[in-house]
Amino acid sequence: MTTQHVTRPPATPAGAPPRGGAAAPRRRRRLRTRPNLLAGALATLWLVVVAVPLYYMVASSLRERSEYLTAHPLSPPMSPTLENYQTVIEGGFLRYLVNNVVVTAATVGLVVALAVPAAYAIARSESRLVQRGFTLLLAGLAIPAQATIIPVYLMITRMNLYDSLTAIVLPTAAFALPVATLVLANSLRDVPKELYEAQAIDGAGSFRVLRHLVLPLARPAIVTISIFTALTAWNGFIFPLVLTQSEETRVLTLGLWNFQGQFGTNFPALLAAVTLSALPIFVLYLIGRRFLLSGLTAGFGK
Amino acid sequence: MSTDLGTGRDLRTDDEPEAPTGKAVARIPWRHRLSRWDVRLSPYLYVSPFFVIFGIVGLFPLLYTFYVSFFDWELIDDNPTFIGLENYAILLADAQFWKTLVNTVSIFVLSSGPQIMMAVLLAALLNTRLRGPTGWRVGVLMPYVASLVAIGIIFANLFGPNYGLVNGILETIGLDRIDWQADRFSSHVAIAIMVNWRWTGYNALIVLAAMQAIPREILEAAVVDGAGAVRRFFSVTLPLLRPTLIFVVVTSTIGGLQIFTEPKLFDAMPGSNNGGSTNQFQTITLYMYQTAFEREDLGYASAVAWVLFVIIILVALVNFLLTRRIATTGEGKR
Repeated sequence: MTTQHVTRPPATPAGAPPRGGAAAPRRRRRLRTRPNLLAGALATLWLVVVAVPLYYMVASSLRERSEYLTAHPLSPPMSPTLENYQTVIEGGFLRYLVNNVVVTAATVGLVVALAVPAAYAIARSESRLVQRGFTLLLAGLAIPAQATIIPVYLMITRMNLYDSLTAIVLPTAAFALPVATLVLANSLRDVPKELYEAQAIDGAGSFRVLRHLVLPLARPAIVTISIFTALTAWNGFIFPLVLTQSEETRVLTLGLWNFQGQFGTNFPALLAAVTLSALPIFVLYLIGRRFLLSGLTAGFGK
Repeated sequence: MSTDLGTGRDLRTDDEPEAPTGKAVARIPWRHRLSRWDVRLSPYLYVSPFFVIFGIVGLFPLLYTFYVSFFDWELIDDNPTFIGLENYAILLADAQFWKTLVNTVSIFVLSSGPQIMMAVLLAALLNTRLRGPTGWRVGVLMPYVASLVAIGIIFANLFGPNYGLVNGILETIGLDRIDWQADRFSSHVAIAIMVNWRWTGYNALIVLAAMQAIPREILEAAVVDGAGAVRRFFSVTLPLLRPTLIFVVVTSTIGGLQIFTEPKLFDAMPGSNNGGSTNQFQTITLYMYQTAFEREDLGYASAVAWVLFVIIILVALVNFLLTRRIATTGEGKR
């Protein structure tokens, strides 16, 4: 693994197989000439499994409380009402939403700001120390966040950051960094070295190369890592749970968890809160799905 | 910083025009390297902020956990007492710890095994000629996008003993209701279903990418040899997928052994860290959290965390060595 990164392969991966590109469907057409009904049916079955809990969530959130107890869980709501959403919004949901947006934006900003220069150095420098560091980074992928929660808690309290949004941002960003840097470094390795040389001939300093060459070329990869980091930050639970306490710093996941106790048996309201919390991230997902799907496999398999 | 990466790269190319590959680059004499020491400064400048953050919040805490585990350390305690290995000695005789370990492994086996089999099957299905491939993938990845807390709340509802959908379905088809939270094994099954619902699609897409990277000549050769679709899948596709499969196994091991949010939210009592009335579905991580922040015993919780970390690393290491071996064999076959 180490040697693989120290001795860099030629910049253009000529032997790299096409991944999900135009070649794939052509290949399949040659092998199977008729549409595969069985495969379609089974794949649809899985989509139904995926959809049922989501449908249940939305349908229940639109029910009246009395209807929730009597109606069949999968029947459409008899008289759809937004009352539950009103309850949730009056219960402090908007503040949690704002906190979540702040935490997510700050985490993504920090990760991109640190990962882009680091990935540039890893992809372009032959320094042994940088490459060793990269191996260390790969080891960082295996550090379980949960197992380090106690010192993270101690450090955050000693830095007087306990119960602040910064307390959530720092560890979340730190644990998102290894994957982000890996994905970015892999994408920068694919940049033909002639482009860098052309820039150098023009007398560009490394910062200019970073700004005018690396940033534009790495834009798809940057979008990918931004979406992945945003997902992690938006959905994070254990760091907010351990590192914050008051209502002012409560993020959405904690808010939901809190609603679970607060609303007791008012499940429609609880599910309305769940729906509201998931909505922004689903929208982001649908907008950025192309980058997310390509990013899944960008970290390995080269 | 007067010099830079771009120039450094350029210099080397000028000096050694015959060196297009990385191997040749590594053979540059040491003296030559030394003379360009300045060129090398900017990479460090770029890479260091990353390592500062990563070191402070990622690596250091791991070592610090080890340190804390040798102390009798209360949550709000400025003078913790050094007690050596006592926490570990207590841990070995702690019945609740062993129970949580069994729970964790049980949930892990119930989730990872079926999950990876389903993921491969799903990938094989998506690899056939289906209309609108992107639409399928978007749908399949959907559960991965939702937060664990959201999924936990929804599934705790679905598996509810009275109004839950799952028990409703069981009753409709003439089976008995199951108290999913109360029974040890059923609670593990329910949590495993939750985990599988979230991760199967994610793993399927990773496997799918590997399937599409298989050169079509190999599959066509198998067709010429008269191999049917099933035979092709088991004799050609599956062996070539092994590195990817092991990767999926390793990542699901690391994730599966530290499962926390699902059992925490599955509890019928909101806010409880017990993992059920008799700890029937308390995992190691949940136990660690309870010890640290409910019983306020940071030293003991650190010992639990470190044991968990060692278990994860051992399993991951075994898998990594396996991956390398199998990956090499795969290269040979090609």
